[in-house]
Amino acid sequence: MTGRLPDFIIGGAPRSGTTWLATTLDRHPAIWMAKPLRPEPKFFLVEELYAEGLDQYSARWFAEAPDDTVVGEKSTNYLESGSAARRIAADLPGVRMIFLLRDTGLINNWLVKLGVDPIAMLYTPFAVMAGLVYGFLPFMVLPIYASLEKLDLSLLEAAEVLGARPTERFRRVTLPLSMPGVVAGCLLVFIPALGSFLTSDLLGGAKQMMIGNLVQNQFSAARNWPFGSAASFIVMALVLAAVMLYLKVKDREQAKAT
Amino acid sequence: MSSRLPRWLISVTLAVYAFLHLPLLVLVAFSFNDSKFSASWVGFTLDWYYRLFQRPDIMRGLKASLIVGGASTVVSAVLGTLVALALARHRFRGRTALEGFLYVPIVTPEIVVGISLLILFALAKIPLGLTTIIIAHVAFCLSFVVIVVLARLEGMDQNLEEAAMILGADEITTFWKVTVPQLWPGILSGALLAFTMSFDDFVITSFVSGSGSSTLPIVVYGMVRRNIEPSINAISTIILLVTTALIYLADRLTREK
Repeated sequence: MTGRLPDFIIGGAPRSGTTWLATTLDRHPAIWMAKPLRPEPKFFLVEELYAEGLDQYSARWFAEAPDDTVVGEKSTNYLESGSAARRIAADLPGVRMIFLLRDTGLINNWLVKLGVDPIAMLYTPFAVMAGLVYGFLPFMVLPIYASLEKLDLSLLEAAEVLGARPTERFRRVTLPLSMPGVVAGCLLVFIPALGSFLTSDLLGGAKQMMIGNLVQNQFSAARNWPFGSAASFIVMALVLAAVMLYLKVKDREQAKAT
Repeated sequence: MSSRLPRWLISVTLAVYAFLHLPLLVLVAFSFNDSKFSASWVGFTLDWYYRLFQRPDIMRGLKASLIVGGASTVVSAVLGTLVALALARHRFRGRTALEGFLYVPIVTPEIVVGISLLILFALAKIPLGLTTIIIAHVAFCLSFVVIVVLARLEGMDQNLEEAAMILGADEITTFWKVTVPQLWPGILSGALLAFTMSFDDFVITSFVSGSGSSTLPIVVYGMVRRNIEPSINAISTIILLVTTALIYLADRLTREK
């Protein structure tokens, strides 16, 4: 027979105070939270655990619960999964749920103060883009800087003397001469960004899948190595194409220079 | 030209620097913040650092990282120096092609390197663990060591070696007494670079580490996935400091004449 099951479940957004709530409730003599508190049970979320059945769930986390207490468990991440919600509804129809949500942060606090609606930032395509730009910006800056450093300033003076306005000087002298740096930078950013999966994993919250995530997933959870290899071969083909393009541009620049 | 630097260009530059460095500053600052949940400053504490040293998973990860970093650095420094010497000092068939192949591991996305090594280890039936992590790290550090040492070799005066030989030193004595001391800054900076990359690597390691052989970045990633807590800021601050110090050292050695 099944032992104690939770009377209530706490979940919610990461860093919204769920752990604080759980530990505070746990201090109350008439409330008993699933032990151990950490790591969280995540029973309805993790396939392997759920497959073990409710009896295991009860035995592992609620065996020591005194009879006269209200029993609860906290797994913050239940919020993220539809299947967890369905399982809880099916297995614990009478359970009470406390879910903490939030969309506040420094920027949204300011937006609200300014009278603007808060925006979702984490776990959006924008977050993934911002993360990738953050990570790879130096790889673009450095080669462009290197080729600008070599730029012959007297050419710009000559252009100025001959009456070119600043925008024209930039478009017709600076930009073409720093093109090798721009192209090299594109290559240095494109290649690692193509294979990255960490940024989209952490900032995109598994919703924003990149080909890197696909490959990683095939080699870990899905265990479909041939499919993963095929996907990674596509990555390699794209890298090869990018390198070829780079060499071609470089060749043309050198041909022009001689 | 610098006298007429337009104001909007300065603004963009400042914004970019803020974008790049504010997150790091926030990370470091919050590793000293005396609050577990608050996104605002509460007070100064070293508690999160203290807690790091009491967590067995972090200590195990640190130990694994140091073992892997140390072993792969030594191996790739020795092998890399030998490869650089062969490429710089000898003319043989396929030399240009071999030099080109040096760049293949560098331009290959890490995820591809990671799964290639995983497939290789699976085919060779080598069980995943510290050994496979070390082999993988040597594989991606080696190219960088060779390139750094090659650069040093190209700037070196070969006449000194010839002089030593003429004065009666045999090849081995010349190598140890003349070549290696001159090459030392290059080898050392290559080794520091290798250690830094090994210490920082997540992607490749995540594929070739078995359960129970997690390096520090893998442990930290696991922590981030579960919950973001100030201990993560503390460990990240330490990793940041170590990496920056090593890169700075390597850079100084490369510039040394």
